[in-house]
Amino acid sequence: MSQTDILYVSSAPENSFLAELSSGECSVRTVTSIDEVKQILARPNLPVMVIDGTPLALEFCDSLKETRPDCLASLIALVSDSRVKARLLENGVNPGLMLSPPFDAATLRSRLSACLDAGRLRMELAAYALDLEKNNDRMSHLLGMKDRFLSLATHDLRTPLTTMKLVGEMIEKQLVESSPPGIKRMLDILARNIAKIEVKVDELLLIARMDMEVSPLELQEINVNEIALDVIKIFFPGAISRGVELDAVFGGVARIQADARCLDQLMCELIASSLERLDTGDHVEVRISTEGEGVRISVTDDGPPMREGQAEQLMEGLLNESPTRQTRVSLYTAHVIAQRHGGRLEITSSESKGTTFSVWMPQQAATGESA
Amino acid sequence: MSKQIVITLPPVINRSEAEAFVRELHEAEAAPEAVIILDCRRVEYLNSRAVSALVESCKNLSCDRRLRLVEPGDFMLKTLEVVGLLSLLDVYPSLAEAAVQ
Repeated sequence: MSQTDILYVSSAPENSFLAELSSGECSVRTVTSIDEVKQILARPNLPVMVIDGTPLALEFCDSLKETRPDCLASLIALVSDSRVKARLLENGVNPGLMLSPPFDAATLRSRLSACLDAGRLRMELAAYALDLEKNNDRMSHLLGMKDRFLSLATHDLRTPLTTMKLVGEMIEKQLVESSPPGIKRMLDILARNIAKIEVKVDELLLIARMDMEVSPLELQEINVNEIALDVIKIFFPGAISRGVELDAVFGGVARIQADARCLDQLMCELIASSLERLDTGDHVEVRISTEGEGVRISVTDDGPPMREGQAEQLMEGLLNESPTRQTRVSLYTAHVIAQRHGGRLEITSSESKGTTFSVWMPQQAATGESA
Repeated sequence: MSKQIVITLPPVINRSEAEAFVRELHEAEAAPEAVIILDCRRVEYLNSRAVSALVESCKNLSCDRRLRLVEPGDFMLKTLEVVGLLSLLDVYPSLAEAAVQ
C-alpha cells in the first residue's frame, strides 16, 4: 500500500496542479468534503497538507488551528489572492509555507521536499513518542505489580507464617518426655527457618516504606478509623509475643482526604515506633480523634519516658531533614508522609503522661503535589 | 450432652474489659469437658490481650475441645487470621448452631 505523502484540501482541486504535485516522488490524496476533513483531523499523524483559497480549505485551516496547532508547520498555503492571506492571518493560522502565484513547479517541489522531510521527521518523533508512551504504560504496570507483590509479601505472607509459628509452639507444648527426641530438633529447625523468612519479609517492608516517600500521592476520601483497624491487627502478633497490650479508642467519625497507602504506612510507623520501646506488661493506646479542621492519630505508651529534651531533639532532627542516629527511620517516614499531606508529627514524653507519637492530618490535604 | 459455657463479649474490649474476659475464659477452661462458646456478635474491637488469651486458650485446651465462636465480625475474623488462630477455632453463624452437639 503506498503511503499518502500529501493531502490536498480544496473544494475544487485543480487538475493540472495535482498532476504537477503527483509527478514527483510523492503521492497525493485530494480531500474535497468536510467528512473527510474530520477523518483526517482525527488521525494521530498528519502528513504535509496543501490548501488553496477555496471555502473548504479555509474551514480546514480553522479546524487545524483549533485541534492540531502543532501541525500548522506542515501546512502549505497556495495563496492566489491577498484576501485569502489576510483571512488566514486574521484567524491566527500561520502555515509553514505561503506561496503566491505563479506556482512554479521547480520551486514548489524544492519547498515541498523540505516540508516532506519535516513531516517525516515529525512522524518519526510521533512514533518514538508512542513507543515512549507504551513503555511508560508498561513501567506503570510493572510498578503496580511491584506494589502488589510488596503488599502480598508484607501482609499476606506474614499471616501463614504466624500460623506456622503458632502451630509449632502448640506441638512443642504438647510434647512429653516420651516423645521421640527427633521431633524437638525438627521443631527447632522449623522455628529457625520461619524466623529467617520473617527477616526477609521485614526487608521487603523497608522497600515498601522507602517507596512511600517518593511515589505520587493518590488522594481520596478516607475513613481513618477503618484504616486504623486494618493496621492495628497487623501488630497483634508482635504485641502478643512481647506481652504488650494494644488498645484502640475511636472518637467518632474521622474522615480526611489522603493517600490510603501512605496513611496505612504512617500508622504502621507510629505504632512500630511505640512498640519497639516497650516490654512485657506495657500498654499502648491508639487513639483517633477529630481536632480542628482535621484528625489526630496518636499512639501513647506507658513505657519508660524519654530523657529530658530527647523528644525535642528528635523533632528537631526530623524538621531539619537531617535524620541523625537518634531519629529513627519509622518516625522520619511518618514525618515525611504527614508533611506531604500538609499535616505534622508531634512527639511528647513525660513520666506522668507517657510517650505520645501523634500526627495531625488536615481534612483537605494541602500537598502542593499533583496526584 | 457436655456442659456448655457461653461468654458474651462486649462491643469494645480494651484494657478493663479484657481483664474481665480473660478471667471468664480461664474459669471456663478450668471446667472439665465443658464446651466454651464465645458470643462475638457485638464485638467491634478486641485488644491484643484478649486475642492473646484466645491464643493461650487454644494451646491449653486439648485437641477435642476447640473454642466455638459465634458470628465474629470482620475485624475479629481478620485479626484471628493475622495471628494464625482462625483455622484453630470453630466459627458458627448463630448461637443456636454453636450450642447444638
